Amino acid sequence: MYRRVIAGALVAGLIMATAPAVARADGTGDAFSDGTQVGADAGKNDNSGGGASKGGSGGHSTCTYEKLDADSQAIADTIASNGSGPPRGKEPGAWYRKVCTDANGQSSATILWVTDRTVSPAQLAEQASDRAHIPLPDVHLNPPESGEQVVNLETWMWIDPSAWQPVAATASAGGITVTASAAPQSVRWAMGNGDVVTCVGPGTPYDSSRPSSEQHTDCSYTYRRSSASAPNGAFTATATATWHVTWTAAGAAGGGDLGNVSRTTTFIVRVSEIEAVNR
Amino acid sequence: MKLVTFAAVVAMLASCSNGDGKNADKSRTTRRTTTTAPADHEVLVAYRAFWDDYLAAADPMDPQSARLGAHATGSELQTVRAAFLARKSDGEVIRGDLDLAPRVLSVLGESASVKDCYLDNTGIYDAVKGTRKDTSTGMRHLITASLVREAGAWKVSDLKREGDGCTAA
Repeated sequence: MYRRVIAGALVAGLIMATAPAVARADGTGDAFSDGTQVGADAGKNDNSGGGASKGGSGGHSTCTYEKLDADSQAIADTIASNGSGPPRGKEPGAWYRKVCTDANGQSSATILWVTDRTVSPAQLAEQASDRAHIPLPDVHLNPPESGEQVVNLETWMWIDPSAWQPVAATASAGGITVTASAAPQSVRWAMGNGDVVTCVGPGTPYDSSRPSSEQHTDCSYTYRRSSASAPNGAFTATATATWHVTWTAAGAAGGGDLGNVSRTTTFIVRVSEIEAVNR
Repeated sequence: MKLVTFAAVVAMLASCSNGDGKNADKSRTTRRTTTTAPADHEVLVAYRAFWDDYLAAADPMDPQSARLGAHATGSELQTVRAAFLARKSDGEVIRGDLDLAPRVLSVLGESASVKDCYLDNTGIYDAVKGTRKDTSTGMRHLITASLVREAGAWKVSDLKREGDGCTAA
């Protein structure tokens, strides 16, 4: 027989072996309901039953989980089927015994159905992150990208502001729901001639209906040479948006930083040189 | 609740656990005799019977005991059966006695509420070795019990912990 202890927000896939703690409790604790979801109540105040903390109970719980033997599995199925026991899960799995002891030694026991498909919150976070639709940067220039840029004339660069918003997605399993959120941070503009400009934020859209003198941007670049000598007479430029991804979990403790995710759009820039003629 | 008199304290079964659990009491609650209104009396009888059933089914541990369903229903019945199966699968029984001090808070139609400040002298024992696996808190526990009447019988449908260290009335 083996024992399993889950401390904190762990699901069955993260079980670590240890010996059970000696409980300081009485025998009637089993008459009170307790959380029955894997990892759901480990590591939090157990106020189940309507306010155990009033009298000084509560505190962090340590829970042990152990798979029931075949005879007990059958009994669990029987009382589940006649409605006098906890319901059996619909997905493949097995019945487990769960015994929780809080900081004051109050213990309670129950059984619960644990599905075979168990993943860690961190794994769910990766799934959620994959599901979050982080858009490619929608590149805009002024002069317009459909035309030509001009040597020694400031080129405005920006990303469509409507796509510069945080995005989120969720993934769930085993009673745990993880939300991954991605927030845009900066855009790295590689201008195609070796120069790089990094802009914090999406940049400022140029408004052609207003005088240039009334507008300002903090994301621009000025070409000093034409692209005439580049392959096909144009620079191959890129705009790489960096998004910072974090995650939180419901139904389990956890959360943190998934790092940065980049999205890159490649675009062609033709730069012409307008020669002034002095006579 | 109409407490008219507070009469003798009657120990249903007086002996206590000897520490190793081999001769520990089971299915025993201490009864304080009071005079109450008929409806209140029925509720209190059912409430006490719930705990009698609880202790009777806990040694030997029998999560499928028919007695559990006699005075428990709904989520409370699920809670107790699930807990007893968990204990049974680990070779555990619950032995000891309870000093109950319930009073009826309300009886409204088919629902009733009971407040209790009971002394828990029960413990969790190894069914084979008879050794106690926990240590008594020696505390009274304040709880609220919800009861419903099903087919004329009052049954406990939920128990809520309210705190520890109360004083019995």
